[in-house]
Amino acid sequence: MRSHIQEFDSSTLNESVQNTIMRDLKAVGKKFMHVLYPRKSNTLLRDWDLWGPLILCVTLALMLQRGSADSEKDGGPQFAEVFVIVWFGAVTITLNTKLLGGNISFFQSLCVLGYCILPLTVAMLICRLVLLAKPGPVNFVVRFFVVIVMFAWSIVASTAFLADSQPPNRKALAVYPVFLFYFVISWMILTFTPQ
Amino acid sequence: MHPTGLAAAAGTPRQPSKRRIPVSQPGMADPHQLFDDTSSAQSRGYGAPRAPSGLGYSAASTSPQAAFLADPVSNMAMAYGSSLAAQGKELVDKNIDRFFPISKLKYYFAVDTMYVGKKLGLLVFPYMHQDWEVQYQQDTPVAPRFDINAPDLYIPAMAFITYVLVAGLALGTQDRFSPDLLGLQASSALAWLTLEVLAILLSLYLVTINTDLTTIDLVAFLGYKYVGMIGGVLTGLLFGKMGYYLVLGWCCASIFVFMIRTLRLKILAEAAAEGVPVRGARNQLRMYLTMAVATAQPLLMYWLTFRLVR
Repeated sequence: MRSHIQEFDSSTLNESVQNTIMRDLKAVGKKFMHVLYPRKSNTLLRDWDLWGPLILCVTLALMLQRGSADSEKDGGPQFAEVFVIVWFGAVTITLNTKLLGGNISFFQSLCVLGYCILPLTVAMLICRLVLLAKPGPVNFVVRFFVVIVMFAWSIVASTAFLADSQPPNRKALAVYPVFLFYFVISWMILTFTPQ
Repeated sequence: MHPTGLAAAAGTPRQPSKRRIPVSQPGMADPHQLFDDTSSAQSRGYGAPRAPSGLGYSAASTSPQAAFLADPVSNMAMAYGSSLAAQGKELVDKNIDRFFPISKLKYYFAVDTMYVGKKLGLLVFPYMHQDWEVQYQQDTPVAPRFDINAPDLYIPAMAFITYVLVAGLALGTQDRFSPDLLGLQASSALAWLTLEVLAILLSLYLVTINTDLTTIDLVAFLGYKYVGMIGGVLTGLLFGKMGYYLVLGWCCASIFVFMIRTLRLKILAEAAAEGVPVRGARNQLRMYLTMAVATAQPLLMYWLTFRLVR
């Protein structure tokens, strides 16, 4: 019994760093799979974590930022601006859902909204690759199409998780701010032009 | 010296004798007895003085069984931490409730999709609606879900956010966009709203009207004009200046009528609300106030949007 108690107490403190990181990465990866193939499951909600949203947000902000060497009026967002838009948007949507009477906790909602940015991050990667080719209307049409598809995917994924927490006569009211949020991010992705 | 010193320190006026009893009982039962005291709700205020004394006692009594030292200490730390966390949460909730009455806010968000649809229709076409009274149910107004005349905060909040985003969109199509402009638009619109609310509250106070119009009600009514502004700017983006003027003109007229019909019931006296003109300086003043508020809406709608459409 003594060793059992000791093992239970120090089980996550004494393991190697690699074990901890691999375990967390596996949890994040599992949630990514859930977002990419949205089914009605509770995994995202039950064991929420904010690592995934943080990784996605940082990746997106890094890819979207402009170098500060050119003039500030060039219109691209800085890293801090993207970060703030994503997190304050997510907090606002969560407040709205809670005020409308949803039975989802604050961090669960943040977790879902953050993870559902994954399709848009993939869209950003694709757009970056497409922009390496020569610019022109075809370029824009391809990017537009990719962003629209990923935008729809994000909304469908987050609705699959969030809409369940509202009674049926209020689902549209809870989904509308999510639509606005992903619309802003898609707009930022679409209007991104590298220097 | 150490345990006795702690015993003296832990001799709080509440239960000094309880502190002394566990000393005479050595063994495993000792730490558990202390933990029950620490985590009980009534002794929450005494969690701090108890914790160090408990630590001293557990060290004294379990030193022969050093292997179990980790367990009682961590258990007690958990119990202390959870009681402290519960205390902190209570304090935060109480303070937040003082500034943002969350329970009152929940009333304004008790809406559903049908209400939102009908209210948006009413904001754009208020001419056919006959009955503008808010229904009451034993002195409390009915939730917006059940009565279309009740004010809500969902539409103004969403309209405000959509307006800021649409303004950013409009500026973006004119190549005048940068993300800090979004923040600028948001704060300037918020500043105008705050100014309006303060001005109306001041005039209500000066004219000494006793009305059941609360501040949040006022914010809700003044937030309805953003719906018209969004419509105008979107049409302006799609169809140019002509479309913008047409839609904005229509929305200005309808918000004017909407405000007059809604505020008439809240600000004017009972008799005047039913359409019977009542003589008297007070009612004249109230009528002027209602007209002023209703006129300010279209003016602000034009002022905040004309720069966005070229």
